[in-house]
Amino acid sequence: MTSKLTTFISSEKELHDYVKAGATHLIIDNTPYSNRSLKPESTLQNTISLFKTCQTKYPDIKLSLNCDVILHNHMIDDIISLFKLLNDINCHHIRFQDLGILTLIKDYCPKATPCYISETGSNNIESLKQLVELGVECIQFTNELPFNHIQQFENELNIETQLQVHGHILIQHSHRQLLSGINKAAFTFHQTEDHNFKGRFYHFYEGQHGTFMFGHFDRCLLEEISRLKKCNITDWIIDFRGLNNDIISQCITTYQKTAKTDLNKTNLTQYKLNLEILTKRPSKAGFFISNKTDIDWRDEKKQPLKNKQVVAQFLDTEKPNYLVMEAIHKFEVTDNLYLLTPENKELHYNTISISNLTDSNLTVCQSGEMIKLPWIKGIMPGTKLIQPI
Amino acid sequence: MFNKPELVAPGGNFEKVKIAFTYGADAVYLGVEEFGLRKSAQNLTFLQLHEAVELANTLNKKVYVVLNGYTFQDDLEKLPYFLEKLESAKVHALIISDLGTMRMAKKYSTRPLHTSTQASISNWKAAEEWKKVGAKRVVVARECDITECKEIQEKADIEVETFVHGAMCVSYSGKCTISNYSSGRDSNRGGCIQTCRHPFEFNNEPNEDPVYLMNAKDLMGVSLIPEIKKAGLHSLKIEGRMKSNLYLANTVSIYRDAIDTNVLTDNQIDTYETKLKTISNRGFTDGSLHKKADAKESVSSKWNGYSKGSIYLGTIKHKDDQNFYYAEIKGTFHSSENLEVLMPNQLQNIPLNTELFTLSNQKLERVRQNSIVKFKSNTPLELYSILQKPLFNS
Repeated sequence: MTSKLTTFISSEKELHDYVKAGATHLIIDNTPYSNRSLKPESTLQNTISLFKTCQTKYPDIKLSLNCDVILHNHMIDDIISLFKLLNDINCHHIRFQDLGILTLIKDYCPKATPCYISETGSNNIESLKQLVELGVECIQFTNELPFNHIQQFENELNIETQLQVHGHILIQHSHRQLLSGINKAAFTFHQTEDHNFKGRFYHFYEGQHGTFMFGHFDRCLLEEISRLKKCNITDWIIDFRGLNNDIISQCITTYQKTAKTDLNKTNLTQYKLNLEILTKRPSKAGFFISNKTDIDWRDEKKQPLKNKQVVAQFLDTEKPNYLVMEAIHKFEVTDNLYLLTPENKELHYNTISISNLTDSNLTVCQSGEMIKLPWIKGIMPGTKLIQPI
Repeated sequence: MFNKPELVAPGGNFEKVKIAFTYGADAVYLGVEEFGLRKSAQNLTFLQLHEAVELANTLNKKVYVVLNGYTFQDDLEKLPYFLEKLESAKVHALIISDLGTMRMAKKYSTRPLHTSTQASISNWKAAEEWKKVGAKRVVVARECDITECKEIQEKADIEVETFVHGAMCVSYSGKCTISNYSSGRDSNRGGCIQTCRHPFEFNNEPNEDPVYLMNAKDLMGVSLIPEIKKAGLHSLKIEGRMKSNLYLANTVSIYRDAIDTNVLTDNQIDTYETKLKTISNRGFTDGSLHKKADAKESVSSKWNGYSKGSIYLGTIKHKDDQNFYYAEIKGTFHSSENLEVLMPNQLQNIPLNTELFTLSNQKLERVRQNSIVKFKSNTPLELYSILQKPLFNS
């Protein structure tokens, strides 16, 4: 299967340029319901006119409408009007991320394929199956997925799939007009540098639906192209909205070449570098679940203790008099109890006696109770009392 | 007379669950070991969860468990076991942001399901879709105003919960991966390191000071409680599972009072707001509750640090037969300083002038953090009363 080369247009000039460059699927992006449309002044008539021009001049090109706004109640009637118009002019796909829009597509533009795009989330097969059950017929995978999962999902889902292969990575979407708030111009890209991490340059763009922040590097899958081809993705998406037509055309042409020919690694790296020179920005394959949160999450040392449980935690100590702890579960005082320091050092008592705060010996400690133990060398804040199960 | 909305408070650990209930919360939301969004919170063990549910049932209150981290494929394997354990604890609801997790929860649990604010539900059509897949309640996006919330609740015929207090994402919740790309920490799996609060320099204007472009102020909606009650919203939520016992006790008691008071006067609202401002904050805004959040008013772009009027010192956790109170101390202070006590069901703090001792009866002058002190009080105090030090030059 040959994947479609897909990108966004909002004018006739872009239409002609990108078809010429090799795009085979175009996403019309000039409606008020495209989240970060660069043509906010555009009217519904402009949108319909662009559809008709494309259908007349390039009947083989697949056409979609971008409708990825976060829906608020007051927009519903206008979107219904738009969808009714689109139903008569053969729009192939409507792209959305808000589940509220899904029902509007099904009710008012049933000829179009509902295409779910998510900025993040829905990264598991159960979620994707749920979307399909709700009526989704095409899914754009997030940039967070590793290839093995993309391939697995592709095999398990019998629907069209899409993946961003190149372009700016959207990393944040705020409903607030943050740039206007500090008297910066809206509807233009601003480059900023993170003051705490010098050398990281982020772009911000403010449109009518809020402010968008883009990563300090772009996504580029050129060096991963052989793995990408094996995934059988329906659409390869190039999203460089905001850059000039020449750069976007160059990017489309580059992917067209790589799709048709098996190029070696050196050539692919050179293509990647060429695009970086044009955009003046670094690029990487992306973010494939290589995050530290998950490393922590899966770290055995940080997992709940096996075959033992924490029964009390450190509150205070006074050398050489006492150690005070708080019972976090009800437990019986046994000889097997021992202390575990934050450095994972075990401290054992020869015989342990536990009392309440007024020094009466306890045989059972209640949950939440403050208890006193004898001081022992090595204890420190964070020490826990452990009971084998 | 309007129905009172349910007050839902953060239960960052078991002690905080007890404090939230003691100070008037109707329900708590909490994390249990995994699948939540606050990995740095202490969270509860399953044994503690059972106790928390038992406590809630005794008090006719509720415990909601968050599974609001985004689920990846590799997580699916252990999700059924986790869901079955939550089922056996008979928690009162699960809070979920991922459609796949929701689908699994329907399969492995009979617990009521709430959709997390992470799903950014901001319209009634989306609420209907979540209802179709099993949601009984939606915690709506913080970008919704009260009118939108009401419309969602009525048209989708679903319970609506909205945030009224606490820190806010500047982003639509669940639509941010800044931490992922800037630090390798997943914003949507409990790893957020708040890179959004960094200062940013605009490259084309090098002489300008860096701007805290996305440093959202904290939400405070207490003045809008009458409007919320009139709208009939089902539940109100307080953010802050990782915040101090003082924040929790103070915030819950004020919102409890505001909800329970039939007619709130301007003076009462002023008093509430003044007290809420005493706890460490980034400046306050009513967010989008009243109208779409204005960036000028809702972002601290020129950041001078947290404001506060009071410092949390500790929590009273025990009283013995000789009328000694025992407090767990979390902040260093001198015994001669002005101390105050916040008690359940009392909005006014009580001054505390007393001598403080170690457990071996040594009189203390300087009290260190992470210690236990004991003392007597002329005024009877209650368990989970909060010790604090007012700052007069805040």
